[in-house]
Amino acid sequence: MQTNNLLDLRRLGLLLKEEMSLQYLRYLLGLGVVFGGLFMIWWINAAGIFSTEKQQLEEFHYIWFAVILLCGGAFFSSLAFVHFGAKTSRLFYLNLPASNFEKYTAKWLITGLIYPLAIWVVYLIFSWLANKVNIQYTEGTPFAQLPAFGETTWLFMRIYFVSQTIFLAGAVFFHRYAIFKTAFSLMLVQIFLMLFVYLCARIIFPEMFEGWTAPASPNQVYQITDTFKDFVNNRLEQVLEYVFWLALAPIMLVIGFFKLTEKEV
Amino acid sequence: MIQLKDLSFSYSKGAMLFEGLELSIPGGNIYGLLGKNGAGKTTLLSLISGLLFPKSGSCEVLGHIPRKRQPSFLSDLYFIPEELHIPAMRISTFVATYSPFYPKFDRAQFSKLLSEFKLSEELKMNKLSYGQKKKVILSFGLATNCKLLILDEPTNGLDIPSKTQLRKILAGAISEDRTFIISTHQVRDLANLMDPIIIINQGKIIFQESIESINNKLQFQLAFREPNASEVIYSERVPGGFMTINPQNGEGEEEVDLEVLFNAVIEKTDYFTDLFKTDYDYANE
Repeated sequence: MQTNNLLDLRRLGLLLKEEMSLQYLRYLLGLGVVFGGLFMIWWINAAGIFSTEKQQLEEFHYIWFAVILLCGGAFFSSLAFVHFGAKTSRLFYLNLPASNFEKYTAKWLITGLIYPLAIWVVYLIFSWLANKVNIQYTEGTPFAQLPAFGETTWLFMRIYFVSQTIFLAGAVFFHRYAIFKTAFSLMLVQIFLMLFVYLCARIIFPEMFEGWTAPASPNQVYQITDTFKDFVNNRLEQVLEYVFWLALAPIMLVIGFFKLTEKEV
Repeated sequence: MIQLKDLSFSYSKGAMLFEGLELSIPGGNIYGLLGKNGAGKTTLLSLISGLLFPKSGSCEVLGHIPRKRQPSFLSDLYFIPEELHIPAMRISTFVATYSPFYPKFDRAQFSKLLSEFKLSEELKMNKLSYGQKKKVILSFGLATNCKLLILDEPTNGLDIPSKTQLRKILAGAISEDRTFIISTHQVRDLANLMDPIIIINQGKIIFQESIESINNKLQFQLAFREPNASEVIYSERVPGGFMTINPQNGEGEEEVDLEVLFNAVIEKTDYFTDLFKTDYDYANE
C-alpha cells in the first residue's frame, strides 16, 4: 500500500490522541486554574461590580477574556513544542512516524483551534455561573454574561487566530523560554520594520516629510502635509490591516512549518 | 539498504566531523559499529535516521532521503538511543498510543518480549529502572518489525541475564529483510552477534568486514608469553596472557576477539586497510 507522506488523517488523529493522552492532566489543570482564577477575580471585584453599570460589567469580561485568551494562548502556544527542550524527547518526537506537516498541523489544531474554543466555553460557563450566584445572593443584581457571539468576543478570537501563529512558530525556533524569546524577537522585528518603513517613506515620498522640519520660531507650528496624513491614516493603516488579517498568519505558519522540517536533534 | 556517498558533516561552526564519508550497508545482518569516544558513531546513526542533516554528499536509507523524515521511512526505522525518552504513562498506554504509528507492529510479539524480560504491561514507565526502561523500548522497537533497527549502546544498564536474553532475542529477530545496527563499547556483550564489523575513527570508516572475512585473513591466538613484535601483526595483554593477531595460516579457526581487533585496527589502520583490500578496491585506485 502506498503511504501518503504528506497528510494522512489517521496519523493526524494519532498525533492528537498522543498529545491528549500525554497532556490531558495538564490541560485540565490549566483550565481549572483559569476557572478558579476567574472566580477569585470576580469575588474580589464583586463588591464594586454590584453597584456598577452593565457597560462596566461587560468591560470586566472583555478585559479578562482577552487576557486569558491572548496572554494565556501565547504562553500555551509557546509550549507547543516543549519536546524540543531536551535532546531525548526531541529525538523521540522527530522520529515519530508522521510527516512534518501532520506534526505541525496537530500542534496548530491544539493551540490555534482547540485552546480558544476551550477558553471560550470555560469563560461562558464562568460568566453564566457568576451571573446565577449574583442573582441568588445579591438581591437579584445580575452579573453580565460574556456575549458568546458578541462582536468584541469574536474580534478577540480573530486576533488570537492571527497572533497565535507567531508564538507557535516561536515554539519551533526556540527550545527554551520560547515565549520570552518570541516576544523579544517580535519587538526587534517591529523596530526594524518601523525603521524600514520610515526610511522607505523618506526616500520614496520626501514631500510627505516637508512639515517635519523643526520650526524656526516657537510660534511656528508643525505642518504635516495632507498627502502624508492621507498616507498614514488611510493607505498605511489599510496596508497594515490587510497584512495583519490576511498575510501574517499564513506567513508565520509557513515559516514555522519550514523551521520544523529543518529541525535537527 | 544504506548508501552514504561523499558525505560531509560538522556541528555548527565546529571542525568537520565527516568529510567524504563513504558507507554501504547491504542489509540483512546485525552490524556492529565500533569506535572510540567522539569518533562519530552516534552522529553517524543520527544522520542515517534523519535526525541530523549532512552538509554535503548524499545519504540514502531504505530508498529514502532520511532528512525528509517521511512517514513511510520513519515507520520502517526505529532508533533506540543510549539515553531514552520515557513518557509518564503505563507500558500498555505507551503501546496503545505509539504502536499505531507502526503499521507492522506486532502486539503479541511485544507482550511475549516483555514477558521474557519479566515486565508487566501495567507498570508505569517513568517508575522503572534504567535497565527496565531499556527493555521496554527494546521490546517495542523489535515489535515494530521495522526494516532498520538502530541500537546505540543497547546493553548499557542491562543486568547479566538480560544481556543474554537480548542476544537471544536479537539473534531470533533478524531476517533477510531486516537490518540491525548496534553501536557499542561493550563489544564482549554482543561479540557473537555482530557481523559484519564496522570501525569508525576520526570521522572515517576504517574497517568494514564480515567475521568470515576476518577469519579468512586473521588468526587470533592466546600466548602465555609476550610475543616478539616482529612475529605478530598485533598483540596485547589480556587476562591469562597475550592475545595475538597473526595472518591466517589455516591452522583452525579461533574466535575473533573484537576488542583486540578494534585496538589493532585503530593502531595499525593502514596495515589492515591494505590487508583487506579487495580486487575491486585495487581496480578503483
